[in-house]
Amino acid sequence: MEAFPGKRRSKDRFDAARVLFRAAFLLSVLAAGAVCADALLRAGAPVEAPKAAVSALHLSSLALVPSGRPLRLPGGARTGVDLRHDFFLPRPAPDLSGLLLPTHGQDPILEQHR
Amino acid sequence: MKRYRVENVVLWAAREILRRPSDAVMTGICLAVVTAMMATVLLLSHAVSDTAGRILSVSPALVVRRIDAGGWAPIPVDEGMLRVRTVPGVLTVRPRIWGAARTEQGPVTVVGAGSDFQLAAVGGGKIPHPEPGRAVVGPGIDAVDGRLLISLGAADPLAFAVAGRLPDETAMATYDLVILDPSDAARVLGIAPGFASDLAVEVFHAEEAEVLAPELAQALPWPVRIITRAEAAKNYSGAVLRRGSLAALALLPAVLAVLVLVVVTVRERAFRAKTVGLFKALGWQTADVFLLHLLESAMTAIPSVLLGLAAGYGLVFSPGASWPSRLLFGWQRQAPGLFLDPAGALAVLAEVGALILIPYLAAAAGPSLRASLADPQDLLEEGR
Repeated sequence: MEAFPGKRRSKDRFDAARVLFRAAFLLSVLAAGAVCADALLRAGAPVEAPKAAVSALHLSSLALVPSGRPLRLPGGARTGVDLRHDFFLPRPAPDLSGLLLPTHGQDPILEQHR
Repeated sequence: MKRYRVENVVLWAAREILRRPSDAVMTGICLAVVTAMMATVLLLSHAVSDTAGRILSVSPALVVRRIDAGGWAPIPVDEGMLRVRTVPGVLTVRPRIWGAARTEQGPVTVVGAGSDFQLAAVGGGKIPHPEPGRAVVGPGIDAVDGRLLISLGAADPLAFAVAGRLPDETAMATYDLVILDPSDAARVLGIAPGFASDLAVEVFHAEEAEVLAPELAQALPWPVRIITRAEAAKNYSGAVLRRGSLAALALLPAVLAVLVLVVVTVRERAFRAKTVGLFKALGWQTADVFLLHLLESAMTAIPSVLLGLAAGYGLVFSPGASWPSRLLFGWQRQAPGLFLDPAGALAVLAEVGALILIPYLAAAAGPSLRASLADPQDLLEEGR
């Protein structure tokens, strides 16, 4: 008399191993396939609408950063404009004494480039 | 015969994973998280700079701004256009009126759109041209009861009726724009009649833009700053790279900790000396034992890395994702949803995948090889 009546099942775990291998393979194929399909099918499409807006409005900067920030100006902030006076991004005045007073054995800095 | 042997080893590898499922699950989760983090950081910086460059490829070839000791200054339109047109290689010159203004919802960018601006092309013909007293707004601006209040500094607030709203898909270019009739825009920004914010210049050959810039500066009687299209695009990629690199640096300790955990798990698995000794005593060849360990590692790592890559891709390229705007560009209020272009993303994903998988499999292969080359009797006697 059998201890477990009905269909005899293997106890060497190879059936479960087969299922695991197939599941891992399927998961890998699905993940790779989904990414590849999306990347290939949507390539180029998301820029069409903003490109039309840039072309129609003759814009030279994008709305990636909030208005008024230096990055919204074409080419970024002009180096001659002191950002301490930008009311959106106040900054304390830097201490320049270290630049002006030479350390031992060094020539004084004659010109400061900003 | 050979194929039959490999198939059997594959099944044995899967069976070995099932003997210690918690090891495989933890290693898989760690690998997926590390991969997702790396893929997100690298994809984001690549996608933002690439998409910005593609969008700005239709922007003016050169932008000429007048400057003085106080910063930007309005440029006289007639004189400026006349002098710019004298430079050989210039195709068209267009005065632009634009600048930052304040609303109750925060700062916005006001743009004056003349009758020659093709606004109909943006919203599929549904966007009307702004008449005096009316405004077309970007997707990030909410109008209160259909009216928008715009004020600039100490000037009297001006109210404009919102006549249209630009589609969400244009957010990367128009999120906080307020498009007005040019006379209204000049009034809001305090620009006198006959003056403009800057001049947009198109040239015959785009490659010549950089060479024409000094000639334009020489032709104009005021100090000017001239920005080429390439400089404008580079501006964004530089900012993204800087901030993305800082974010990546902050994640570095976490990534290293997870990688150390993974390597320790792999080494521990490879040095299961008793199991290896048993396999060899039962007649397994050295190559079979090595292949078993390599497949066991690969069977955990490859699906995990692919899932991590898919998660990173989904985070960055899901249409309208607004978290990158908050992280990279410092938006305080509701941030614009980005519609990033996935062109070129597969190459970045392949790089990240290789960057994770190759060291991981190499770390697995070394100890596996040493274990498989050992004497079976030694392994059984000293084995765990």
